[in-house]
Amino acid sequence: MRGQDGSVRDFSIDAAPGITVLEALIHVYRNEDATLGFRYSCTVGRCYSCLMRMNGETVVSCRETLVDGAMLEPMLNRAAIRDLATEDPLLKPSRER
Amino acid sequence: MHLLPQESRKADVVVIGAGGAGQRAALAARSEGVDALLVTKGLVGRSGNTPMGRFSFCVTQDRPGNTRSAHVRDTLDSGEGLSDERLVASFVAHAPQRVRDLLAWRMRFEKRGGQLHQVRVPGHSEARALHFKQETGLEVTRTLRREVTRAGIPLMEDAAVVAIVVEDNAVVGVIAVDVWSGIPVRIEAPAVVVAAGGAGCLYRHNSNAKDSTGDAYALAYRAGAELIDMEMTQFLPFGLVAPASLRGCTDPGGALITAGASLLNACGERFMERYDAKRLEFSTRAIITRAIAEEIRAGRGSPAGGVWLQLPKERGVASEVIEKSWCEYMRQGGVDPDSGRIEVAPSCHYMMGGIRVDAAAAGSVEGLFAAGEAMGGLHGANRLAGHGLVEGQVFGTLAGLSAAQVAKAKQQHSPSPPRRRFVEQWDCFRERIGVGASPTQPWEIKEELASVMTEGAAYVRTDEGMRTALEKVKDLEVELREMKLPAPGLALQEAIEARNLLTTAKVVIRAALHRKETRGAHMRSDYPGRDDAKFKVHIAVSRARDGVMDVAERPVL
Repeated sequence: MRGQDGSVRDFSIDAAPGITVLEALIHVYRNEDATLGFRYSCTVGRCYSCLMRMNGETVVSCRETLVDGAMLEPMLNRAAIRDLATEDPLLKPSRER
Repeated sequence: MHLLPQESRKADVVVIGAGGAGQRAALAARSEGVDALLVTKGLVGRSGNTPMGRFSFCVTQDRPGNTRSAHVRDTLDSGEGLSDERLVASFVAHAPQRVRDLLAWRMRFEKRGGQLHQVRVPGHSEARALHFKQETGLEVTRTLRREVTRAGIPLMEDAAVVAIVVEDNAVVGVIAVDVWSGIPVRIEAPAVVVAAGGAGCLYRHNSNAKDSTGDAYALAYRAGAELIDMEMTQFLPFGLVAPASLRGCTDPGGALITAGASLLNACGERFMERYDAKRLEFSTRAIITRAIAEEIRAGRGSPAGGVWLQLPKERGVASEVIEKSWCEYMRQGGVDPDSGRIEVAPSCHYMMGGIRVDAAAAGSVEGLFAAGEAMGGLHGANRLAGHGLVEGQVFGTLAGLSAAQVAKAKQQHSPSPPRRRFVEQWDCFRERIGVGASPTQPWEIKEELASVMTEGAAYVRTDEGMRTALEKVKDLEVELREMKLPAPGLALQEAIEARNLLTTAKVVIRAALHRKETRGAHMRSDYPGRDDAKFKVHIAVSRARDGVMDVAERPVL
């Protein structure tokens, strides 16, 4: 996983085949790093809050099957929040903080 | 962590929750010329339950020959005596104008032959459901999101409101915590619209967004506002049991039933013949849920704690009926929709109850308004299909307009609210979460609560089961306090959510204990009949001055 500052972190998990990217991230967050940054809400491909890039392609992480050895990155051209979480992945207006 | 809210700002109206109801309220307030600030713990329009609304948006349009009275009657019938007639009348009367607003904002309701297309859905005596594909809710939030941007409404995202601050029973503002930094913000405002409804995450099987965690009910309760009908938790009978990523999802099951599927128990029997021989699987959601519960209780349930849904045809037909994206999703998770039968179990879908409001969407605390799933009283004991999304639009508008009036009235006269109230509320928040050193994580508390509620206070209830659940909920509150405060980020959000779920759980259980009968979505095996003489009332829960939870009865208006 490549974060906002360009550094890369490696995570390995034991998981059944067919696990989604989001399920994998939740697994890491619960078992290894509770500070991991990523977004989700509906978990069924409706809200599009969980968008990110896997191996360079934009994916809906709650629907996308995790590929072995995948490189996960935040969406391009969105203000950084933390790790894979950015401001709204589909809209560009500036945020109040 | 900081001692008191460090940053501060002012607004005329704060809207908590940025789904259908919240965005609509902010737009309504803005249209009155006041400063409305939209605050959400997630992203605007990408959080909460509105995007989950699948299909129906039920209105009676203003056309010759259309009568509102039929729509009102259907709604009151569904509510089984607990719907407030003035709210229902207001709902039916205002809905057509809300449709016109959405159309003006380029919402793509489907048309046939140039006219808005409406279909008849269960529970309605006429064709009222407007729709956009199988994603009407998403289309509502998309439409409003565009309009919120165009109107220049200021947004605070990733900001979890932890307290509505009140002085002399009047709102003076809120405290929000930025989820990623942990920095609290004090927002002074004379009016708040609570539009953060939904609490499906109380239960293991739910069809909700995973951030639907009772925030509205907990915030309003702690601010001293009265909640009603909180025992009315709607379960849809056909939630998927597998795959895990789709647990609780109700869309495929609903589509199969419409296509003529049967429900079978472990013995292969079509058991609805015993519970509703006339309507079978087209019976009401409440009757079917009760039937499933009884089959499971009698030991005739399916392996994972549900029943079987089967198309009475040869294999291979299900994938024609279920929307393609769901089929793909099921296969991805290792479940074949064409396998002949699918395991389903009741899934928590909607909270009929919520903050008690009057016809202007005003709650029992001055300056506190509620809209959407956060409010109670419209649906009574059972919500009709297609009324959730419309409720958000109708009462979002009313709440925003009412909140704007309060803000204007107070602009001239009010001094700055006392800071000590904000400090008190912040201290209260800090005392409830993570003052200990236990390694328990917030997500573990949420999961444990979901198990407790599913076991003891789900769709068939008993006095003993609920009392046991209540004690366990209180134990979990202690565990939340003893936890080590998580670092800011998702863990902090989940800790706040855990606290809100626990408060909501107590309210639901106390209300359910009080209603000693079965009515609508509230089913008690120890009181299986309906008792109009004693219980044609709202069960109202509120927080007394000394912090004790009060349960009372209120007349249905």
